[in-house]
Amino acid sequence: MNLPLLRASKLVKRFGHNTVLDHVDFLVHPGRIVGLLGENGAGKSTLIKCLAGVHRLDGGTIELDGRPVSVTSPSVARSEYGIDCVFQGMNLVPSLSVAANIFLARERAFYRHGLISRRRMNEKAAEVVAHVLGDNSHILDRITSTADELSLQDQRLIALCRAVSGNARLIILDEITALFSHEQVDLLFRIIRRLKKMKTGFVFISHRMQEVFALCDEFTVMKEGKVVGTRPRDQIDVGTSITMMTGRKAGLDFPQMPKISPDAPAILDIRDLSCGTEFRNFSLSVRRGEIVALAGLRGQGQEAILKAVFGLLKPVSGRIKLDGIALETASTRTAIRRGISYVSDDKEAELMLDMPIRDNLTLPRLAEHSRAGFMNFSQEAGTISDIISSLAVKAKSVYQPVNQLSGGNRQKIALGRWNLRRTRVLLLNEPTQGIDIGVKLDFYNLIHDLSRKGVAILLILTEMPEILNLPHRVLVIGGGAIRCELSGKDLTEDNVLRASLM
Amino acid sequence: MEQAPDNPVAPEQSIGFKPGSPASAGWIIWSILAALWIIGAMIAPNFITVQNLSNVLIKAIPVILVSLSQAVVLLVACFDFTVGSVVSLVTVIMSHLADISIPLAVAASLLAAVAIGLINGFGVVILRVNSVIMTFGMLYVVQGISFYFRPYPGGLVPFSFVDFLGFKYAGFPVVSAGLCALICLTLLTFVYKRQIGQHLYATGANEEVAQRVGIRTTRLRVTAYVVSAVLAGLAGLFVTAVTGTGDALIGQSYLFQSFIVALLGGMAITGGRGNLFNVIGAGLIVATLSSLLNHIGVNNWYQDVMLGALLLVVLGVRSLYSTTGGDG
Repeated sequence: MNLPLLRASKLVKRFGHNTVLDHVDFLVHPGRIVGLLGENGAGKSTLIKCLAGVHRLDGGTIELDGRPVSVTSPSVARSEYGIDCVFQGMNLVPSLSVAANIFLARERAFYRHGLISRRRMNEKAAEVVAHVLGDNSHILDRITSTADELSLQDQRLIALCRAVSGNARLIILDEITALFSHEQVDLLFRIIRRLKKMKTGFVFISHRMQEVFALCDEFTVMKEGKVVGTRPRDQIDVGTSITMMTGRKAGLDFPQMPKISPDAPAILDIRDLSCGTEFRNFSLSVRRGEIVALAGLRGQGQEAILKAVFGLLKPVSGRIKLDGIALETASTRTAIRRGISYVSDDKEAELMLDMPIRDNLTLPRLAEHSRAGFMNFSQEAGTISDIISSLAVKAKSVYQPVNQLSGGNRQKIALGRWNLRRTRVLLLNEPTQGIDIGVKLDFYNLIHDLSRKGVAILLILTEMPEILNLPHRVLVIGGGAIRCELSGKDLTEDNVLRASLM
Repeated sequence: MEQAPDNPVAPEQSIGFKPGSPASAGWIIWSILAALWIIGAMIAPNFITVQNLSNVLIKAIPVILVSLSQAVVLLVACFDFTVGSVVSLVTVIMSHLADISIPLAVAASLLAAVAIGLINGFGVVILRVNSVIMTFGMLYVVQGISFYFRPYPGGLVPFSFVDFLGFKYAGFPVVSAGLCALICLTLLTFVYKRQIGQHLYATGANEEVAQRVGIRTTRLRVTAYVVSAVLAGLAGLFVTAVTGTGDALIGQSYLFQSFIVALLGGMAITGGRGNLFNVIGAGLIVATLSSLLNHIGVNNWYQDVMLGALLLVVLGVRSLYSTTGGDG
């Protein structure tokens, strides 16, 4: 084939000790749509952020039309090299009109006597919209509306118009079909297919495999920061791509999974719990000492389920029982009193980072250490040293501020705040996210210890090795519902990925 | 206003000179202003007179200018606590230098304002000091300088300056009103008719999006602080023309008014939202309300209560109308 539009060679990107991109080669030809595939954390979003100038590379070269370029910032990528992105999240300025958003930072083109001619800008914007989205697009009637009056889907289409009108040659579409209906996806695909005839190159990322395979001309599959393979459309299908994404080198030694006795009673019992658009008719029963993981793609309602159990979210219908007794919903106080503990994935929300370890550990239970309203400091100190030694927290002293600790130790503090001796149900949201491998192992042991002590554990996991080795049972969640339940021999990487993606 | 049932906001509404749109709730501001004048005409016999209209206008001018000054900084999601102390400093500079030469005194006042704006912008953007802390600190620095040069209110600005800005034709302060209108028009033109305005909104609403399209958000924030300080400086000149003396504390009340008026006018403290034209309306409301309450003999402290209550009511009504939820 002729000269590629973009040739990225041996891209390396590290975050701390983590190598997120490991000598990645990536090609986009003009007029072609490349589907970028890979499971969570495979490096897809890091790759596109490097191409778009959001991240600086630690190694490797990027060539456009055979000329090496240095993409130092998003605005350089956009204005000098014609690389533009449309993201799942915010793309537009909410308080500016559609026309003003399309021509943001290019308003000078509409100066007449030194003033912006709104009329000309609106006319030109209408032309762009008609050209990109078609003559009968409903957005043509909304050119002067402010962007926040339009749906998120329409906002993404407008960001696409902005990219095209700025003569972007490579357009990266990151999960933009999220929330799209079938009709909207069809419309978007017709638009993209028309644009690719004008030699624009596209990179398309979506978790919906059918979409990716309906649209893309070729596929690059990533795994653990490396490119596993690049194949044209006729040499790959959904099945082979999943096989390419799976399989990995032997990593951590996971501790032996604790056994649960066959007659262990159910501790947490959730029936037909629904909560708006977050999740529907969710039923689950977790037995004494059982570890149940919620897997699937990120943001499919897993977090909302934990929050509903902990009382942070009010379910619309359904009920939760703890030890056979109904649990009052939407009350964290009750949840805590009944022995439910929750550690979210947002460590900044969990801990008071500027305060010492001591205060972080004992603030939730000052009452336990006071007598007649006065603090019993020696008792408090005893509790703290118990917690620190049982969790193996590495710190200089209990007066060290939490923000001086490593991610893993912070996570231990977040867990240690809960009185684990009283905990009946432990809810964990991605407990080992962003922490070192050694500390991860500590956590696995800790989780298994708690399981042996009879705590029912419900946790969200996204990393495959953990999903396969840590829990007794895995529920794959998709679109707020249970896609399938896997345990024992059925709990394989292939099955988990298939259920997540298809 | 016509509204399709399934489309609560008419499509032709966007940022521009148009005062009324439910999204920015500008119509509330201008209706309140109209209502105040109608009520005033009905209950206070001397309310609609040339004399009173002229007084309201003279009171409103500095309020409008400091509020626009605050609003410009709010647009980029920052705060400026120095607006009041800049007003004071300008009266002090004028009280010392206007005797020597009026143009020199005006130039020195505006240069001082530019310098304060640059320091604020530098601290917020380059040193990354939180804008509240940075400008709060500068408030005291500027106030201290004013006190150094004018420990007690005093000094006399030449009559020529007072007479020029206070010149009345048919009872109306045409010179100061005309100059204020010119300042407002220039500001609105830049904000709504040139790209810098679009970029101010973009920076305040979503800095990441703004940077992604190539807007230099740091430079823009510094510019916003300089413009803000200059507007406060201009307000100081008008205040000097009314009082005729230098006073290191006279600006204090303007700081609070600048926030109340800017918020009443629909600026969001989170940035990137609101229409400066409505802020002018809100400034007129505050001046009118205080004159009306004076006319019917309401004590000053009740006036503050009513002003605060009005602000809360308007923000409440606005968040009910808002399509995106409460952003005031």
